[in-house]
Amino acid sequence: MDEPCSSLDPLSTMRIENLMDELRYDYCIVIVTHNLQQAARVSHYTGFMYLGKLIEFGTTADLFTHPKEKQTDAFITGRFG
Amino acid sequence: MPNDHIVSSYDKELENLRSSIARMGGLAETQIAGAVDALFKRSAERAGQVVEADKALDDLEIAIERDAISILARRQPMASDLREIVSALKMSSILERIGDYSKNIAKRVTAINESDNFRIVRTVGDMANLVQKMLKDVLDAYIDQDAVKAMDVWERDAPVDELYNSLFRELLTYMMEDASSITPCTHLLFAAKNVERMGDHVTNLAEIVFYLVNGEILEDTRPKGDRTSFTVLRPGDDD
Repeated sequence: MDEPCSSLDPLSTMRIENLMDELRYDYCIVIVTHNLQQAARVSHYTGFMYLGKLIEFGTTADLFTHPKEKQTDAFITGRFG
Repeated sequence: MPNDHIVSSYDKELENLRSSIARMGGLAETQIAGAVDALFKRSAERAGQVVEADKALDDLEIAIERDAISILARRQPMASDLREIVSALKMSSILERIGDYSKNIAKRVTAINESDNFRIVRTVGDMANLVQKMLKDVLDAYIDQDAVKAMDVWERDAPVDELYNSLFRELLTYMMEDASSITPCTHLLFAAKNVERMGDHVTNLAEIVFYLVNGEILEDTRPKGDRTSFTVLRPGDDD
């Protein structure tokens, strides 16, 4: 899914996210998003890409609580990007 | 207003957190009962079981902390959800501490047992019963989100302090009368102090439940009943 919730209101966004949560039992879903919070909410694994390069990949819980790469840390804490 | 989140997996995560706290609370209750049981039965084996079982509380605290941090990072909780998670973090560390006190009481059982003739003063058991009941009620208040019940628990610590004050004087008297009782009396005094501290911690749990339900921090100062810091007994004093 490429930016499945862009331009949607919060309620519709939540509905889509809930649908993804239901579908995940049967399908593997890859979602591209520029919305950090959405990546954190919906995914089990997250990859951080910058200028076409994969900087870091890991479980969402790890990536958002203790990222290994400095660049990831700076990005998710709003220090760069 | 609906209680459930649009994203149902969020509800499940919060529910897991709540049930982990409830499980920790149940374990902490059992540990108090076990420690006091070991004390009165003079059973080193029972005491050993209590010391051993403390590990489960430590593990649960770590698991709750890990889950709560993960939810904070991934869900950006707001309002009641945020209070729920902050409360879970604080409650788990308090429950772990209560477990430590039980473990400490259990550890003293062997030392107290060295003195064959020493009679364990009943008051310690009475204090522990009160605290255990307070803990059970505050956990019910947490599960039912009942701030009134939490406040009721908050006010029930005073009798525990009163019992501790009288026990403190009683044990000082014994120690003055018979120097051979100093070792077991001192251990028992520490055990009683541990129970008294557990009572204080349970009132903190009650304050957290109040905050969780009402969204306001309880600013009233609870009347402190432990006067032992100022108690002086001299030989010949009437008790």
